[in-house]
Amino acid sequence: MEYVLKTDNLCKNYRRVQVLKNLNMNIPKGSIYGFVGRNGAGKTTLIRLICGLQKPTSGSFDLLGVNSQNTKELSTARERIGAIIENPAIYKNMTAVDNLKMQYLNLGLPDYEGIDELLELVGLSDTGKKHAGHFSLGMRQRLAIAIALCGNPDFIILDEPVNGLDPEGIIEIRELILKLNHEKGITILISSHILDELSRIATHYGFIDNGCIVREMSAEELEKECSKCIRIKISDSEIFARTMDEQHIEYKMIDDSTADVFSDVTISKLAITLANAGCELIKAEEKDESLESFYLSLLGGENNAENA
Amino acid sequence: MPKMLEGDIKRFCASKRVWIAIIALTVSYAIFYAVVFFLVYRAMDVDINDITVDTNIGSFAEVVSVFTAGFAAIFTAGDFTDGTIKNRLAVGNKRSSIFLSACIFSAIVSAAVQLLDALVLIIISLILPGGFSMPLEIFLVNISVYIYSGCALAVFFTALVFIFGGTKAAYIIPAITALAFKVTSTVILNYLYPPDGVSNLSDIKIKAYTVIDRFVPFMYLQGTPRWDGMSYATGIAVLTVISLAVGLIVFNRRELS
Repeated sequence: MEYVLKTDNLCKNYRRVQVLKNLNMNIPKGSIYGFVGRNGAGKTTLIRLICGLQKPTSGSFDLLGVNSQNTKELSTARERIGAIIENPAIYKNMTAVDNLKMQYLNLGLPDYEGIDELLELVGLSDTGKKHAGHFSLGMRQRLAIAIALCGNPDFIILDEPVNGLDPEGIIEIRELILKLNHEKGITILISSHILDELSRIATHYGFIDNGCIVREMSAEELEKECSKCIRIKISDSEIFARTMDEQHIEYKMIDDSTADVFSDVTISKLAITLANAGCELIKAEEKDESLESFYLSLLGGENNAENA
Repeated sequence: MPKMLEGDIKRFCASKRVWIAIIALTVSYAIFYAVVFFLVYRAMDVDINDITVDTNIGSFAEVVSVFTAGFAAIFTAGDFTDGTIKNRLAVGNKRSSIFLSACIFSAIVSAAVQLLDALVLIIISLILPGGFSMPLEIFLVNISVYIYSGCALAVFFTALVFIFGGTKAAYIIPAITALAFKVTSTVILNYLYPPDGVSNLSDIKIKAYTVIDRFVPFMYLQGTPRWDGMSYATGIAVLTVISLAVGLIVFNRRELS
C-alpha cells in the first residue's frame, strides 16, 4: 500500500514537556484520515512538524515518499501539499481572488489559471470585491480550503476545519471534502473533535493520546469493533449468565439487570430459553456503539499509549 | 523568492490605508515644514530669499526611518499575526527566501518614500523664494545617502520583526528601537556639534561618539551628510549584513505556532 505520510518514532519536546512520544502513523494514499484525540494530545503539534513550522526533536517522517532528513527535497514535496493549521490564514483586506493569487505567488506558479474553478468548487465564486475580513466564519473556512487547494495538491491537511461552523456550514465542508477525495483523489488528513462528523466521511482513523498513536484502523475495522448488540433487561443475572455460557452466546453484563448480547440471536428463542431457565426477559433493544463511545472506551484508563 | 516579493508588493498595493498614509505623511510633512519655516522666518524678519528648502531635507529623512520601523512592524508582523506566514511555509518555501523577500520589500518601500519626499521638496523649492541653496548634484548625493541608509534601517527593523514575529514584541520593539535611536542621536549630535562649539566630553567619549556618528546609518539621517562616501558605505553595509545574518539565523531556528 502506498502512503502519503509515514512517521517513524517522531518525538517533539517543548523544553521538558514531551508532546509527541515515538509517534508512528501511516496515512494511506487516497484516504480521508480522521485524526482523533483530546485537547493537548499532540494533533496540532504533529501537523506543525509536517508543515515545517517546527522541527522534530527526534525521529523522522516520510512525506509523499521524501524523508524529512532530506530538507531540500522535502521543500519540493511540500509544494504538493496544502494545509489549514488551526485557524484560517487569510489576508483580511484582500478579496477571495486576491488571496488565491497570493497563494499562487507563494507556490511560484506561472499564472493564475484555475482560480475561478477553485472559487466555484468551494462556493465563493460570487464574493466579488468583498474583502475576506467581512466573510462569515464558514466563508473563511472555505476560502482557507481553496487556498490549501492551490497548485492541485496531492495531500491536504485540515486542522479542525468545522470548528465554529453552523450545521449548514458543517454539511457544506463535509460535502466538499468528499468531493475532493472522490473526484480529485486527494488524500485528506482531518483533525477534529466532532466525532459524529468524522464518522460520516473518514476512511481511516488514527487515535492519539498523550503524544502517541493508540490505534490506527480503517473505517471497516472500526465498524466491526463498534459492533451491534442487543441490550436486554432481565430479572435474574445469575440464571442469565449461566444460560448464556451454556448456549455459548457472547454477552457482557452492564449491571445486575442489564446485559449486552453480541451474538446473532433470535429474541423470541432467547426469551423462551431464559424463561425455561427461570429468568424473565423484560426488555430488548438493538444498540450500536458509536465512534464516540468507542473513542471513550479506547482512551479510558491511564496507560493506553503504544510502546514503540 | 521573486514571486514572493511580487506577492508582498501586491499585498502592499491592496493595503490602501498604508500607501494613502505614506503619501499623506510625505506631502503634508513637506508642506507643513515649508509653511512653518516661511511663517517663522517672516516673524523673525528674515529675508524670505534666504529661506531654502534643501538645508532641511535631513529632517524628513529621519521621519522616514521612524515610519519604516512602524511599517515593518505593522505590515510584516501582520503576516505572523494573521497566520499567513504558515501558508508560505507549508508549501515548501524556504525560511531564508521568506525573510529576504520581506527585507527587500521593506527596503523598496523605504526608498520609495524617500524618493517621494525628495520629489515633493523639489516641487516646493520651485514655490519658495529661496529655492535650492546647494547644487543639484550635491542634493542628489545627499538624497542617495538617505535612501541607502533608510534601506539599511528597513532591513534592520524587518529583521527585528522576524526575530519577534508572532508576539506583541514584534510591534513594540521596532518602535522602541526607533525612539531610542532618535534620542541617542540627538544626544550624540549635541555633544559632538554643540551650538556654541565647545564640547565638554572626554577624548574617549568624543572618539566613541564620532565612531557612532560616522558608522551608524541612523546618524546619517540627522541633518545633512557630513562624512565621506567610504564611511557611509561601510556603515550601511555592516548594518545590512549583521541584520540579515542575525535575522536569518534566528528565524531559521524559530518554532512557529
